[in-house]
Amino acid sequence: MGLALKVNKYGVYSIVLIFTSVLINYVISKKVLSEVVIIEHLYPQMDYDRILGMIDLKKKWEWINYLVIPFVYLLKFTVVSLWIICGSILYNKNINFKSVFRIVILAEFVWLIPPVILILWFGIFETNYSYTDIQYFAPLSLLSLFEPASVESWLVYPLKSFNLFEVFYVLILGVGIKKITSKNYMSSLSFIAPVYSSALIVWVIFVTFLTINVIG
Amino acid sequence: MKRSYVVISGCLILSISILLLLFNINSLNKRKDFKNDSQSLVELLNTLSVNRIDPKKKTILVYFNSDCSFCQWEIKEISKNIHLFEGFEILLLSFEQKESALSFLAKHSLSEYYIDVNPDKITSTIIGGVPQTFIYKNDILIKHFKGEVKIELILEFLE
Repeated sequence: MGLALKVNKYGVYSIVLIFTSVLINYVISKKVLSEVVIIEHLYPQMDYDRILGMIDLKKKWEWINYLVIPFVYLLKFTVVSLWIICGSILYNKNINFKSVFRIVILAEFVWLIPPVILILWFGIFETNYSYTDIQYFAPLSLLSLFEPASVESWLVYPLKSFNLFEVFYVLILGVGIKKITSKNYMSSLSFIAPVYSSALIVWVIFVTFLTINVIG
Repeated sequence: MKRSYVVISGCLILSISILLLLFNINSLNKRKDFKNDSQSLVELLNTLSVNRIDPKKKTILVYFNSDCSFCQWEIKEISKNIHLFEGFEILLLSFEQKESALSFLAKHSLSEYYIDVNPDKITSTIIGGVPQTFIYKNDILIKHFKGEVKIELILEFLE
């Protein structure tokens, strides 16, 4: 009699997601947002020794960023899944939280693409970049249609948030909903698109509100 | 029936959120209009109910909070280099209680530059975090820094 180890594939997907996310964040922190980029950005205004102090502090506490990633994912998956479940009640769709949670885990892999594009872009194509270039880097989004200098600071996040990756995310959620409801794809999409879009709008409004009040 | 109530409530909540945001943006624009239209130190201080001494003098206005480490550094640097600010006006404002602000400034011998302002008025006039540094020449705002700023840069704009 041996101990049978049952591997939950969604558990594996989550681990792969977390690990990849940590790795991507590490590469961005060490290679893209390098000390030189930070110093060049801050030096015109801040004292050099102060900048070095801030960089040391960043290095000291950076590990917390990586540690919170699994918890951030857990929170995001839970909130998105709950929102979809609420939507399913409105639409009289019989879907359970566990199934939706699994779909949300799988769909999340779409969000690994933008930071990878960032790494490749600033690593290979645009190597002479500034911190501001990174801040305003938002491929396939509304923000990329505007000159950074012409955009009000509070508008950056909303313009960044409306991008094609959100569309891909919704399309993948639609595939997942199709599988668990056994309905056709268009029916699943006509359910998930408004439900998720409403969540996104509320989130963007919330963050923009905070941005205006805190940063000004 | 139940579904339509929920949909209507959802739409109402969304509309209220958008309206609140628009209101916030509108008041932000009004504050920006104030700053952009006038760029005037006198008008700013009038809004804060502060009696100004000499509007023609080159002025550095620092909006700070004693708990903020960046503010602490900047105030300390101003104190260390106070002799370089001779001939310029220095105004130090905070949204915290007068006693806390003065106690902090007293440690750096800068209490005389403190301007007592109603906290509600200042937070509704100067938006965003601390520290913020405003430099005025002939009553016009010539530079606005957000975050701590080195003394050499402040002096560069004052000259």
